Amino acid sequence: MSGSDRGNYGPNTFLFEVAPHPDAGVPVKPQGISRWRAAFYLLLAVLLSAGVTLVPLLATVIISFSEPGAWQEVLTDAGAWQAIGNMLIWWLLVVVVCAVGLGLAWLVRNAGPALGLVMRIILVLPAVVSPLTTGAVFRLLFDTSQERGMASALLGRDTPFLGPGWIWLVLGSAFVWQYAGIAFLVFHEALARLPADLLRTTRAFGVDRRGRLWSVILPALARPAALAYLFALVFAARVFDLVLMGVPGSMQALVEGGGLYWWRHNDDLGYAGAAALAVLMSLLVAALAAPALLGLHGRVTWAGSAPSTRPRTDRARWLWPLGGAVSVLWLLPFAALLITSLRDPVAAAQTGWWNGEPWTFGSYTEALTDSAFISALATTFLRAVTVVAVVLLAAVPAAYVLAHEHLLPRRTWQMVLLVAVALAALPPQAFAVPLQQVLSPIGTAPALIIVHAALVLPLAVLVLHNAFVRVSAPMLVRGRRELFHYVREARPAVVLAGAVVFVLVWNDAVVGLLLNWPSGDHLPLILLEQARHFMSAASPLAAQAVLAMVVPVLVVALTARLLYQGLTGGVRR
Amino acid sequence: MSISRRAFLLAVPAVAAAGCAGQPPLRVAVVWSGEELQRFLRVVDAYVAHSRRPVSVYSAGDNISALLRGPAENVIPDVAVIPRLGLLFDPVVRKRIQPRESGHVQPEFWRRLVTPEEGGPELGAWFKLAYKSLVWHRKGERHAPASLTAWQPRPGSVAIGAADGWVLSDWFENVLLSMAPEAYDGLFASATRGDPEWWARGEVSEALERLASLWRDAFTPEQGRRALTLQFHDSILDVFRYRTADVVAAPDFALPVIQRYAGADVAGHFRFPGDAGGPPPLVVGGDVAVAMKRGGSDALDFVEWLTRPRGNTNDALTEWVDEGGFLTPYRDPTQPLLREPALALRRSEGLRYDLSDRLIGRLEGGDGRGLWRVLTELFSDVAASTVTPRSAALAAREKIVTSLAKGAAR
Repeated sequence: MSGSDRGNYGPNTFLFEVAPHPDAGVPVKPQGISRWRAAFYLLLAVLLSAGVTLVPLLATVIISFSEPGAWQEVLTDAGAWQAIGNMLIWWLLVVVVCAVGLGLAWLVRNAGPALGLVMRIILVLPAVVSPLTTGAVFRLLFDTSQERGMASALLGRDTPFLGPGWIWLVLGSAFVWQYAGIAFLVFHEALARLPADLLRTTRAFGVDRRGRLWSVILPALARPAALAYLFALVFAARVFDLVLMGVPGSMQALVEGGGLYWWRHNDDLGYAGAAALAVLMSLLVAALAAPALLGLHGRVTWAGSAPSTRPRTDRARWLWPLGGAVSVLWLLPFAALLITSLRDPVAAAQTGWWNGEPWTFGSYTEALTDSAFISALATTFLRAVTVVAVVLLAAVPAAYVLAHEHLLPRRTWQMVLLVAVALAALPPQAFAVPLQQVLSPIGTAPALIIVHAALVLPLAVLVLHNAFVRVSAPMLVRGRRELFHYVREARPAVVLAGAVVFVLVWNDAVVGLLLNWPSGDHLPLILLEQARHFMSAASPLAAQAVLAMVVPVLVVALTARLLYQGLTGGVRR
Repeated sequence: MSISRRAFLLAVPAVAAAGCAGQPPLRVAVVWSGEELQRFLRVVDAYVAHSRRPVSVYSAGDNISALLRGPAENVIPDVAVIPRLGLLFDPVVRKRIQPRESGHVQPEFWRRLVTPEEGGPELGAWFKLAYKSLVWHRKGERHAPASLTAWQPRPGSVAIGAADGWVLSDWFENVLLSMAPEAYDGLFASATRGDPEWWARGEVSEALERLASLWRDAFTPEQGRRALTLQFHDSILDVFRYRTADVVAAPDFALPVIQRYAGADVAGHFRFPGDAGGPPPLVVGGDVAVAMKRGGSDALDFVEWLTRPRGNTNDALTEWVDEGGFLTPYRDPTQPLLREPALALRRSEGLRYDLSDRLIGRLEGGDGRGLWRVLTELFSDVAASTVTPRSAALAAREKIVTSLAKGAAR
């Protein structure tokens, strides 16, 4: 972390730096907190992480060796290998997501604040949408029939986009649409604060363009690249509902990753075999995450330089059409979904959304008078809010202690944080079997809350930790009150952590299905029911998806300013 | 009014925690969605009015097996309406079922299907039956082949919703039953488990090859790839709305779908052709209502109420029967197209129960698994690719036998 200095953080310094910062600015060696209190602060977070992820994960490893031949059976199971191979294709899509994010950020790097803002909002919007909805939208857009599918209509003939081969184009587009925005955001921030002084100096010393790229630009992009990669990897490793909704049943086996395969076949593989497959998947994800962890651990930083603002009007002018084209592409799926939801269900099953009439609010009326849908809306909201409360209760004190290294040397904490990142990337199947057995007696609702909380906890701790290390220590308050001071000062990060947790829980379809608690009261599961006859349910499904989307979009819109502060620094300004 | 149901259940946690919950609703898991689910809810409304017990209906879709087998006892529903007969005999699920000791008498064929031991109690009562050996076409056009052997469809003339595994398994069952009824019976001789040895017999391979040749004839590779992306409803649209194909093999419940998208009185059908000289096959399926142990006597009452013969009275269920898409042994539909199938079900002559719905274990269906997956790959090989029907059929047989061997080894 050479060169990173608390005092030099510009207003837009990007948040996510995993390794703790040295306290070079203001001396904040705290005295007021005892070892016991620090341990107490960590208690809930440790209990959740250990109880729901670490211990079950270890149990899974042990179970996988409990029956002789289990590993051999999994390793000779052709289906399992196909699923592992598919995970590698999904991994390629992770790289594509990062590349698209970087490419777009590079193109608009000098575009000025207005276009930058528009692009940020439009590109990040899909990340708030549930993968189920994404699957539904892209299945609509790429329907085989030229009467209904926009892509087929553009070609002027029926084209089996959802069939063999083509299906990866559809899934790739959906995945990129949904997550490239996050990569864009990360790279956009990083490019805005390339070390301008250093670039000028190297140019003055006669280093050519290529040399500057290798010696300055690429090192400066290593950390954001690692971060974007890790984010996309988490989503790819857990890819599940996108396939369930977006891919016809006949094609699912060809594209499903380990998670879906595990879900379908864990009965066939047996107790130990299912555990062995879970361990295999975890190892694969850990191996794929390793380069990113190294990148985050590296010593590169961009923190020293202020954002460079060099608006070159000649370039900015041709950038607007480009930005416009990207925006249209990114908004198109939303438009298709909205228009489909407003069309007559019978018409929507037979013709594409661009045919327009007949308009009706029928699908909305149906959804809003369906007691099952409405109650799922309420239950999901309650559940998401409860999880946010539990996570913040656990993560705030934990992040506070972690940020100030009260208990152990700094290096140890770095290791803890890296393990937390790795845990965030693990597919939940890895620890599902033992978890089911332990949690089933306590009832569905508490079990779901605990599992959700534990799964998103590492992310929340990371977000809060990065903000807490930037809070200046209070001059007067000490001890217990100091924690409140930190929360107050790092309010944007607290809101960010809460919003991320809310959106992830709200959109989840994996935990409920995977852990065999399909109690049917979680909103995405209600949406999934409609996929049984996909095209004939197009309009009602779209209406439900729009209604389900409104809540997280509202949450994000209402807290947008704080969220942005949270993302770019985490501390109140 | 649909205030009862899930809303009730799902609003309850808070209320229950406060200790002021009234009578908890009866939790019913079904697999339907859309129009069929709406129909079922209407039937249930009458029960709520009649018994004053709230009922919550949850559509579990194809996840119903996971729901019933799951480790969490507290989400096991009180009643399940199950389309997969095999699930009743699953060791885990069977222990959770309350057998029927009394109630109305079911027709012999159907009663035997849900009775594990001769003379023992029945595990459930049949709610909805399906007639799965029909081929639908536009009214006024004749396409019926003389026999299965004579059926050589020209490319593009048959619509198949190959994205739905059950559509393919229905095809397989009809062909197998036409060609080798003894093998069909061998696979499921008794009410419980059949003899898996039959899968390795030549009759099964021949049926697979015949099926593969039919599919090969019916599609060009481009059309085959297209068919892999179409679901059951899409295949009906192909014949009756877009008119890109002439016939579609589909059960009786295709009729409401046809009427919805193409209007009344546009369809005709013929029996799925039999082998030359042999009788046409008659594959049937159905949904069986089962009381789970945790539902207590109320669950048994509900099952009895739901499945009872309606006599001459009318309610939401008889309306469903009259309008089509619902067959029961106790009442004839008013739809002329469905009278003959309903009569055949009532006569119970030559019926064979859906094979894939009885499989459990490694061959059990579901997207991307079991027999569904084997048949999807067979379809893909011959209809969307250029593998010869013979080698595709041999590969399919090999996959089935390997699956069974792996399952038996456990």
